[in-house]
Amino acid sequence: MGDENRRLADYIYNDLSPEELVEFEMELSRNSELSEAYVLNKSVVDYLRAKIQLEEMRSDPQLEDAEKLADMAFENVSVDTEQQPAIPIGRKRNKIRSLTFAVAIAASVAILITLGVPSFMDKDLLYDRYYAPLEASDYSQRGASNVAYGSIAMGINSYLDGSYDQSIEHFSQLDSEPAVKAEVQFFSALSHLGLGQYENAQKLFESLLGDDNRYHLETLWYMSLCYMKTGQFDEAYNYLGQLEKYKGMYQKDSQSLRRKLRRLK
Amino acid sequence: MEKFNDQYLIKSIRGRDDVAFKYLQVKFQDSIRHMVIEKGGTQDDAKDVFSEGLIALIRLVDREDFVLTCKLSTLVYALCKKCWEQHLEKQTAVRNYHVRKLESTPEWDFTEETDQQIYQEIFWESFKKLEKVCQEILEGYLKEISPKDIAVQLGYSYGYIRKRKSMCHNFLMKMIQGHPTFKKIKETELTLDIE
Repeated sequence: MGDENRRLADYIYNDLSPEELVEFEMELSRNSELSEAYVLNKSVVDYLRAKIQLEEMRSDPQLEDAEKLADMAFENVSVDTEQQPAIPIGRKRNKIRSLTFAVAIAASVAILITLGVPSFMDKDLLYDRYYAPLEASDYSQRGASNVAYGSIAMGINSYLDGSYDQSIEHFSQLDSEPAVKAEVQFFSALSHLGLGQYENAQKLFESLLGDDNRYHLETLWYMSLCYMKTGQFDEAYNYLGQLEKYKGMYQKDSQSLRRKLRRLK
Repeated sequence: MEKFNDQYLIKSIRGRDDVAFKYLQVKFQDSIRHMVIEKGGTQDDAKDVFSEGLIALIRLVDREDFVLTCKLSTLVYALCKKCWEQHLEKQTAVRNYHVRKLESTPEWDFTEETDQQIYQEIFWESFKKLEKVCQEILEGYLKEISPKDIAVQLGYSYGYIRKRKSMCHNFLMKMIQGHPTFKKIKETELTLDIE
């Protein structure tokens, strides 16, 4: 294999004579092991080539001149940023605008868009990648009393604004309202999660599991994240396995996170 | 691939010569993709940014007062960087991302994308761990400097450079394949395949 490796390197770096090239390509088409090795070697070289070029561009002393020219290219090109104000990257929040139909449940789980590339796999890194606060979408509250409903909406708005303490405060006043029990527990748990109080969140999520509630999938998802964050990988793995069975927005993320968890277990 | 000098390329861009655009694509698209992904964008964002960068380049070279005062590669980088900054201002990257999530596009595979990023970090980390002379030889090859010129620059014979390049590359591959995270990902893939 030593000679084969040498020739593979020569091939990838365009260092073979025309005769050697023909001979090697014939061998490549016949030898599946060699062909597999080629794919990996090529991807390494392609990556390094692009990365080295990128670093070269970034450190070019003429970059300042290039940036001046780039500014010229965008002169008189309208960029309508006024109508679309910038939002800090990492989170996108939708405020509930109408209190009439405002009690919300998320439509998506966003992964924090991180700058840079992970240097190694660990539970905190995975948590940061997969956790994002729930976002609200239109949702009709059914069967709740108006008073309770108004307070829930306030609590949820606080949650969506990132005011988790306030949200917990609102929900604590509604503990005894059976009509909104599920909402109260669910959003309280999410607020604890937002504050990094994983054990509190976990308990609330667990209490939701037994009931037939409309937040079942979201509960499984966030509870799995809680378990992972607290180092209980087996539990997280099992709940993600349950979630994987449901077709929907969590299925893909559950599969990929479960796969990652195998590496931590 | 044939090499073109910057002035020739500028002239070809003015003449809307497809060969020039193809050349720019082959030459720079990967680097720009890495830049966008490193800054938190996706593969699709990277494609958009590169296309917009080329459009900006055409706009620029069409100006009568345009004079190339830097390397074309650095200019392409600066233009694409600016396009990406504009993307961020408009938050299209984030918005598109959320739309994609809401639509649950089945083709989008987070696992693959993340694994790819981890692999690439391992590739780079391993490359940086190589002996200085190995890095210089491989870098020369990757920059498409002729082996003879690399030999002259480093003060070795052509034969030695060619042989040493293979040794360095194989050493790099061994480091990558022996990296614990690389092995773990590969093992997981194998386990999942069996399942």
